[in-house]
Amino acid sequence: MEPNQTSGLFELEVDDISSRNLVDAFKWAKFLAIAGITGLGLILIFFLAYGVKIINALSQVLPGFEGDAAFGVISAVIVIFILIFGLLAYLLLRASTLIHKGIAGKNTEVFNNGLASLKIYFIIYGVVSVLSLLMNFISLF
Amino acid sequence: MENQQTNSSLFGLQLNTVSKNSLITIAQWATIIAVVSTVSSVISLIEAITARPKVVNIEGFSYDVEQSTGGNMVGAVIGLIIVFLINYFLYMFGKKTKKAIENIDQGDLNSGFSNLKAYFQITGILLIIVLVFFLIALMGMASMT
Repeated sequence: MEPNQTSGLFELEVDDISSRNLVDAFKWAKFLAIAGITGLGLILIFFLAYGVKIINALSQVLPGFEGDAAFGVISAVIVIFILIFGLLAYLLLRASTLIHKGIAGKNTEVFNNGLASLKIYFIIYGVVSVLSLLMNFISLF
Repeated sequence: MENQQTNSSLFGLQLNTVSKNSLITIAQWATIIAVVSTVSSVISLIEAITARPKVVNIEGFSYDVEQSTGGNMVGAVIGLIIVFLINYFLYMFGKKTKKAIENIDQGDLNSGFSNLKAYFQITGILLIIVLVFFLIALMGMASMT
């Protein structure tokens, strides 16, 4: 049996109602993805422009948090943050575009590629959520 | 010439094994995310409630400052309500979609996608509200300088 095979008269399909729901859902998802990419870009620009001032302000609040080491730590945190959330935004944007195209052209292959991107998006988002819960839990004690 | 990749039924786009497998994984992770985010928010609320008052020393006198606790509490409760609402739709998407694929139920599939729409819609509207507040704050800061 081929993995891509569709079978039977009574199979699940993306009918009119599902299509409308998915198209609406992924219009909003596209907006979120574009807003996310723009926001991350602004964070990067803001850090490049005011990075030194931010470190100086932090060094007044946290004694010993100054110099190249502090700049390196903050830079690493921001780069990791931008990479993870940039990837999430890209995957959501790709999923939105492909799912919309798949529905419009009734093309299962394109639709499945969109679902594959959405799947990776949800997996990464899930792992980030679990890690965030762990850190939240640790901070309780 | 007909596109060989097109795999549509009479009325819509038919879901094949690959689509169903992807949807099941998406539904499982959506359920995990919904539960984990809700638990995480409850922990944040507990943190806000149990936050110890800050002791400030001004000119030799020590004061218990509790102003941050009240603010944190209100913020955490509002945040918790929003998170509950968003994650309810994400949870229902996961639950309905999984059930639809397991029982081949078109109604549940439509309901699952409707919940996904609600999830993205509410998240998008919240983002717009946050952006508006951010813009107002920026304008306020600009007018002060």
